[in-house]
Amino acid sequence: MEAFRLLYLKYYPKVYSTCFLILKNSATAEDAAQEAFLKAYTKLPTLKDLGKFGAWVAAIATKHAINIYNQNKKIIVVGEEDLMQHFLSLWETKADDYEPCRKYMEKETNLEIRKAICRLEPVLNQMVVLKYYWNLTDQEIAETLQVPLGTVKSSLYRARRLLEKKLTSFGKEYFKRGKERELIRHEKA
Amino acid sequence: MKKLDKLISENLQALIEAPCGVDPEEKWQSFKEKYQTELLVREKEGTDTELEREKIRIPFGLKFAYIAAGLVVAFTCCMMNPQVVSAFRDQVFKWVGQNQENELVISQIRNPVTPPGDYGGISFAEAQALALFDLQYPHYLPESLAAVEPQINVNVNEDGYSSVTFSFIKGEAYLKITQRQDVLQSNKNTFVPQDTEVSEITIHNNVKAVVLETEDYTDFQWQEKNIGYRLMARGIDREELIKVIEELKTEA
Repeated sequence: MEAFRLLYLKYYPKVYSTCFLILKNSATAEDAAQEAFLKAYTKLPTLKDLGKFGAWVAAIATKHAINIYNQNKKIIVVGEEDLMQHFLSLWETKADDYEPCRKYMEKETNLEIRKAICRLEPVLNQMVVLKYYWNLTDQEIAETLQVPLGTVKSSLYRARRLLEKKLTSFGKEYFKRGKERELIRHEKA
Repeated sequence: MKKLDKLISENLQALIEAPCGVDPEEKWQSFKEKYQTELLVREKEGTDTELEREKIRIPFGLKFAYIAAGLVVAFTCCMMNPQVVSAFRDQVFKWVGQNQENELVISQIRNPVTPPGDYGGISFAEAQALALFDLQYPHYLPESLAAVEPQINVNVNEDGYSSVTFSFIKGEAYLKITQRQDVLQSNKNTFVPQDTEVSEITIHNNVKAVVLETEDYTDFQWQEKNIGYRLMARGIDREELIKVIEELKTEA
């Protein structure tokens, strides 16, 4: 139990945040996370690679989160603006101060992509978070969630398309500038 | 597309790894409590089912075997005796289905609620299905009522508790047996009219029953295993009535 406690303390906040991203409700996110850890504790011997414990629990938690979402579609009410503010307040930039324009553009693009991620429908959110944060391959997602590989691939494709569409002028400009910068760097080299 | 992937990845990292305002130590305590509770529930129920949901997950390989066996049994029963509708004695109704994760789930509804009201003109099996306790049926009847089919009435109250009455009537002879769930504590006064003889007898080896006798009728009242019983009769000897009580059994 003590060893599991260490794993719990390490991964609980991330698993909780993953569920929160899908459910956008702290109480239900907590329920999903706790249920996932309970299941993980009893099924731990079945986990082949302990190095993937975090991703494994997160996948279980997202399954619970989707179930909770489906059961409470009409009940969960969250002010999206509050959620946005919560995420925005945590925003950090990696840009340096010598390029204020680029920094501004990056900030706006990040803001847009975060809004877009939050607005994805829960199932797409689940796939995106497992793929891009928990670094599971398409095959691993399919196996863990027990869905066909084709479903995973098409969901991820749809999610990427949606995110791309949601990026308005700022985001597109940012990409364009990025390509220009790469070209200049390439020419200089 | 790789740029977009990187952007998604970085932003998800920022969202998920940012402080989320929960104390993992505090949650660990509630996790331990929840786990202990689940263990207790499992021990109590003696199954490995999930808490609250009453789901039984079956290995993939056994799915078809269970379904096939179920279909064969159902088909055979229907073919052998198509007139009989069987009720589950312990009021457990089961069916097999799949959840959203394509896992096979046997769902159970225990003690389904019967709408409150009076149910008359029904068979013993139907009365048993409505009552949430094992009904006692008289396996001995006085000669005057031996060939009489009883009238069976069930009353279900707002709390879901039921009382069941068997009435045997033929000419002057009258016998009525009432069985009622007495699960909740209650005080009850029985009005004893004038010229009524009150006595106490022992039935079923060690159960005390109160007997009220007048010129018109005889009334036995007793309680066994949280079920209250009352037998009222007219035109039948006391000794015969005691025989009826002694021969009350759970099957019709």
